[in-house]
Amino acid sequence: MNHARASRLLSAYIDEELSPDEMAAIGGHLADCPGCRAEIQELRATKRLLGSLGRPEMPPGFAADTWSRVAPQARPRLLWWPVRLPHPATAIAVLVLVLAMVTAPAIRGHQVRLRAAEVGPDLFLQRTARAQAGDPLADRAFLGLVFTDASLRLIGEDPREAAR
Amino acid sequence: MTRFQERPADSRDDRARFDALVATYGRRVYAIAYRMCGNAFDANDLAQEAFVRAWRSLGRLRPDASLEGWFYRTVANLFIDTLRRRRGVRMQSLDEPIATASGDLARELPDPSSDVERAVLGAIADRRVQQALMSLAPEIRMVVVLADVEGYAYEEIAAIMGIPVGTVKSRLHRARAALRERLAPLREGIEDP
Repeated sequence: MNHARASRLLSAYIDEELSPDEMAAIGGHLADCPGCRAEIQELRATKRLLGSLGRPEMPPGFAADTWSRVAPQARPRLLWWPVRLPHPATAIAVLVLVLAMVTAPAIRGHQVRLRAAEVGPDLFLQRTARAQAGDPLADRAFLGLVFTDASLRLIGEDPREAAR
Repeated sequence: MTRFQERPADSRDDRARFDALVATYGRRVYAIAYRMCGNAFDANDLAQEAFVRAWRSLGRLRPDASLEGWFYRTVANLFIDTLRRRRGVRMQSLDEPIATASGDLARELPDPSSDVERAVLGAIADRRVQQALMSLAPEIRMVVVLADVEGYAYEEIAAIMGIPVGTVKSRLHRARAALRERLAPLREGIEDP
């Protein structure tokens, strides 16, 4: 075995991590090479120095501190439920519902006022009151509003102006 | 072999499993982290991060895989990646004067004639060796820490780091050659006759 190759294998030689053939070859080379003998002593001393390093103790509370970094991940539902985005279909359904809730009364109010103007407030009130007589959920306040608006119009006043 | 659930329902169970993981691997992981970082603050951070990652990916571990092998592989990859990203870890030189309000204070190395001084000298040797380790690239440092500080065999290191045994051999050779130069003054007292 030549010197360069032997020199490369010295580190594995001191760890006895070579094949038996290589171990024997290095042993033979060492007998003839004072340079490699010196190097192997230094490598052994270096290895011993590294092996003599103290073993640092884990800081107190290591497990608890680390757990505090882990815990939110261990209970993903609690953390994620309030901030998770809804499914697109759910989002569209909610949007349509909100839009309907806002526009339906506006359209209904407009239609009822047109009808009241058509048949005259007195007749409209009479008919509507009769139709709603058995309905406990009937919106009487709204009916009153429509009647007042229509009456104001009849005497030539703008109900929106009067409200201010 | 231990098998952990991906998302265990009971958090008290989780905590017990987590504590068991730390009890099994904590000391060694912290010791490796300390030798890789060179200071307690960064070592604590890195070791904690190792457990956080390991815990989060435990569910992806195949039931037949070895927990220990997988765990140390996670740790080794994290340590090398992290340290490669933040090159130039702060290390204080022993010869560097200590800056104080009233001017620089020169460090004095004690004389090894009493037990206290021998202990202090041991601590200084420890720091010198640590400084020498810090001069190595993280992937080289990892091999030498696993081999010479932690005492793993080449094949175990190859498995932990996911590299061939030949690479372990050549990295260790390079590491020891570099350390041999740097530690020459410290070594004088302990060389073979």
